[in-house]
Amino acid sequence: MPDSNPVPEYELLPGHVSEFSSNIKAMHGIDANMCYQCGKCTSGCPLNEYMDMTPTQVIHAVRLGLKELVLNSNTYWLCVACGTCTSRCPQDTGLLQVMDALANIAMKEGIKPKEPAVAAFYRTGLSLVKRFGMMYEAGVAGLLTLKTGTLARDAGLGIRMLKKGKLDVLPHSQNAGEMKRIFERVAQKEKELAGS
Amino acid sequence: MKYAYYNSCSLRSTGKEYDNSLQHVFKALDIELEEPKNWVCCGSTLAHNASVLLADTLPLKNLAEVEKMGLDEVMVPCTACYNRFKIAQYEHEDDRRIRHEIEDIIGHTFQKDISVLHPLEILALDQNLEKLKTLVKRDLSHLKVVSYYGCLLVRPHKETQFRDNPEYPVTMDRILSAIGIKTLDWSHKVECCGGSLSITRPDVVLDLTSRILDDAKAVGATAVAVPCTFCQLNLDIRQEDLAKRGKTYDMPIYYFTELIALALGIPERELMLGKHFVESEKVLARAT
Ligand code: SF4
Ligand code: SF4
Repeated sequence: MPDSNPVPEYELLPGHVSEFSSNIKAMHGIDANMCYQCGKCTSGCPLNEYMDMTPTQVIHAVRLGLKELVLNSNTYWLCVACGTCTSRCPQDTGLLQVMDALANIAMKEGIKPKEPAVAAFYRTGLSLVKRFGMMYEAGVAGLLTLKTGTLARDAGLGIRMLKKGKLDVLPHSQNAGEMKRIFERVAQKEKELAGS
Repeated sequence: MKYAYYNSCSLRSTGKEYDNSLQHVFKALDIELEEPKNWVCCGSTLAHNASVLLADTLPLKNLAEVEKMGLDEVMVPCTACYNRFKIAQYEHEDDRRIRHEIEDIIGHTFQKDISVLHPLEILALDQNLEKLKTLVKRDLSHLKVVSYYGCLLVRPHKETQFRDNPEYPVTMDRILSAIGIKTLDWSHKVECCGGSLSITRPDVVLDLTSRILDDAKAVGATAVAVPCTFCQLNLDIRQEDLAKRGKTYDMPIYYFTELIALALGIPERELMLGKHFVESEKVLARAT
């Protein structure tokens, strides 16, 4: 990409490419404009019946620049990255990466999550991974219970797993110092990239 | 023969029996496995939601450790890890800028391509299948198994390039048939079990797992074979909750490596079948 072009893509074709969509394309390499709304992604999505916007609607709304509508939906929080949409898309839109992009933006911009437990799970899980260098399942389950009270909903999944020796109560540490450095350097890089 | 072995977080906790049975099988095949020393968590189902750059960096950090061992093939049994490794490699290969940034972060410049393999891909190699056949000691032909592959191995296929058909894979069926275990045709091989929503939206996971188990039951399966710690846990632990909803399955969910180990004559007591929630030993005994 030549650095010398000061005119953003969405201004070259007004009304055709939204700023939101254009930013997602720049950051994640995904072009929502490729979608021709065939609906194949939604028909295969295992979570579509629980989503308030279907994947097909989400990608269209991204293209139109309806940022708030999309970020306030529960769709990208419920997406389990099963890849069905992306694998079957005749236009190769990379809808799965659109979902990642939305979650990344929502977390960075502090959007109030429509699925608070799911968002808390990602945040808590990742902070423990950063701290110990590896996953600490019992810690995630415990902290989540404290934060969101999921244990009640969950019919004691954590306790049943503990009984089977499938969770270790205490965390293990794995190359934690280096992990912390990697997290910091990634955050630093992201700042640089966002500023460039 | 030797592979680097990414013995990840899930194989040390929820999936200890996966690691255990896998080690038995590879030992029987005389294939050496070596863990990279400075491994870290690959970010699994968490990192990509917060930062795609982080999600690509963590797997590549681990591949750098494999390269430092002087090996160029790594076996990754956890499908979530496998998926993240493959996606990171794909994006790294595709985008020179990301490649440069990540190599800078991890302080390593890749000299060669490391190939990331799931144990299914390794065991399905001709020489390994032939050898497995010669090692069979126990007749398990009375079992009727459905092979469940789930999402993360086969999709998105352009990225994972799992060596099989993404909509109707047969690798596990081929391996199990080779050692005398009958597998059945069914329609839920690659349907999603709800994966990481396990603790946060159990209602969803219950719906999705019951559809999978319904189909397994409908075709007459007596057991399910899986290659994934998420699938094993969801399909196994949720049967108790489904029974409360009036749906009884009593369907043991085995790692495919447990079935192979059993066929090779490894006794039950050396495997960790007691870690399964659904009773998994009775069905192994032949009716006399
Ligand atoms: S399958 Fe692809 S082209 Fe069809 S609606 Fe979904 S994203 Fe658009
Ligand atoms: S990747 Fe997400 S949006 Fe796509 S089909 Fe799977 S759950 Fe649905």
